[in-house]
Amino acid sequence: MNVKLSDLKRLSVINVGLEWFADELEKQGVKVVHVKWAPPIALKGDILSILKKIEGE
Amino acid sequence: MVLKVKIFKSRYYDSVKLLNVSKETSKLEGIEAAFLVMATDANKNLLKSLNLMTDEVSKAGNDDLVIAVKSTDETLADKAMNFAERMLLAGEEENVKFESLEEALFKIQDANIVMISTPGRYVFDIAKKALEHNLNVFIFSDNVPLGDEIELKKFASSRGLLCMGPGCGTSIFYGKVLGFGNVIKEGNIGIVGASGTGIQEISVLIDRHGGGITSAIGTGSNDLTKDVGGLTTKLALKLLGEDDTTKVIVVVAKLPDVFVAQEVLRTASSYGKPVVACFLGLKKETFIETGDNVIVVDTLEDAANYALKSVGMPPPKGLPLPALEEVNTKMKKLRDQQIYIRGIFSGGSLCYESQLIISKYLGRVFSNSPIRADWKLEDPMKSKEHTCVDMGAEEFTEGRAHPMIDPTLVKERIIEECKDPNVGVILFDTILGYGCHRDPASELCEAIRAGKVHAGGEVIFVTSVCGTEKDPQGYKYQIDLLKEQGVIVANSNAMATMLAVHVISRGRVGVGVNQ
Repeated sequence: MNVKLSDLKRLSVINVGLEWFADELEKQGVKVVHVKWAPPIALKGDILSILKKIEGE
Repeated sequence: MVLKVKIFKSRYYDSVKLLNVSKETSKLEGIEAAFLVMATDANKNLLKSLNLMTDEVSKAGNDDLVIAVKSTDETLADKAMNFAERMLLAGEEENVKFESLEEALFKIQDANIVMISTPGRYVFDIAKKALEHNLNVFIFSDNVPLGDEIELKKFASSRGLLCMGPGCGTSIFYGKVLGFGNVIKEGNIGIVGASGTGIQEISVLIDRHGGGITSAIGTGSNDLTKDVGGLTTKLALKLLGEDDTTKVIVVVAKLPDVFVAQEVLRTASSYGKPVVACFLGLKKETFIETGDNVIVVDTLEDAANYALKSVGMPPPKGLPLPALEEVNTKMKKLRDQQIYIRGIFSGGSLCYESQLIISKYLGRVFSNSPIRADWKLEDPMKSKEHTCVDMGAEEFTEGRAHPMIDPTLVKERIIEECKDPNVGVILFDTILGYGCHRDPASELCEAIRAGKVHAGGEVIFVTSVCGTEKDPQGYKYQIDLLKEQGVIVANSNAMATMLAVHVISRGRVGVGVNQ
């Protein structure tokens, strides 16, 4: 890829986390999209082992 | 008094959204306090200190939402609880364009940066995915395991991509700010920084004296440690080194590993452009063989001055001092017992710079991020002797908004310090720019007014405003607000600190920053 500084003249940002930052970018006229994010659901051990079995099959 | 608490298991909202709903709920009739927070340890401690803790809250986990409402009346408490829940739900879908990163990566074909500010333990998977899609990443999050950082940066470097952060506060590309940063004129100075407020302070001083920047690339505060080895810094130097518009390169970091810093200087020097380096905590004498085009300086202000000089801008003819007479008049009102400085900072590098200056003239300075290991505060909540507290450090920010967005903890600390009869000067930073609170001076002035009531005598407040006229908050407006409260406003953090030292030494130490 080897990014160059001039590649970043036009920013296009995907924002994950604080929506505040997406709003701040928008105010500057930067192209930005916000992704809804939530922590992955923690699965209990037995459910996890069942899923792993299914995956394995 | 009625306390109502609700826990919502595995329901995540970001800290800024929770802050806004907390504020609106607190304004309702009969509500003494309303807090919406994720149940992290830091937030549980906060709730405990405010007597809002219950058994249920103590058992809640990092990903659980807590709504706590204290009211004079049961019905009003229920009403406020419903209001808070409704407001959360109402705002939920406001700006969401995509339900997942994968969807965004697939549909936004021209994306070039993924900005990440989730809790630190979730960063790795998101950042790795972005890098695999050949996108640069800007990771604002703290509390990312060091092993994750190294793996991400190695992977990014192998692809020639920027991995800015974790813990990256600021980057500016062609005038556009990621994270916290000021509106700086475009020009021909490039900055690489493992220090967010270091970048901010240098860039605003460059702007204020007529210069400008091409870009400022943040790397995250760990980048120049021995373990990380400057992986992002070296790539950022390459970007600036190969950019024709960039005529001089500034490198800034807080206490880097000395060998990594030397290697970074060799890399920077190899592009043949003038290089100005400021490694707070390492004396310039440490670097002897750095190349003819490299100059190492001790303060952020000097870094800005030398960068300006390197591009042929006349260096500022000594910065104008605030009316010294006013400072000296205030100083004479201090009682003999008022012998300590208390520094309350949102910016880590500003906190560090102030410690270096204070210790040079007044001896030891305690801190939660100290310049010497044996000067570490046992309890970051409690100051002693001369103290500078970095309120943006991880122990204060886990699960809550950074103090540059939410100055609540800074305000509480200012009031607390005023109660100590041995305190003569409260030194603090006022940081403007995108990403930051819309009116920090008004918030700080509120705390100053309350602090004066508790002080029982004269306490001198000193600050510098890290900002430019084009910042959304308005530089002059913010200064005027502070001055109305009797705050002494200096032109740089280094000068504000020198004024604090001048006052506490009862004038024995002069106020010239460069002496």
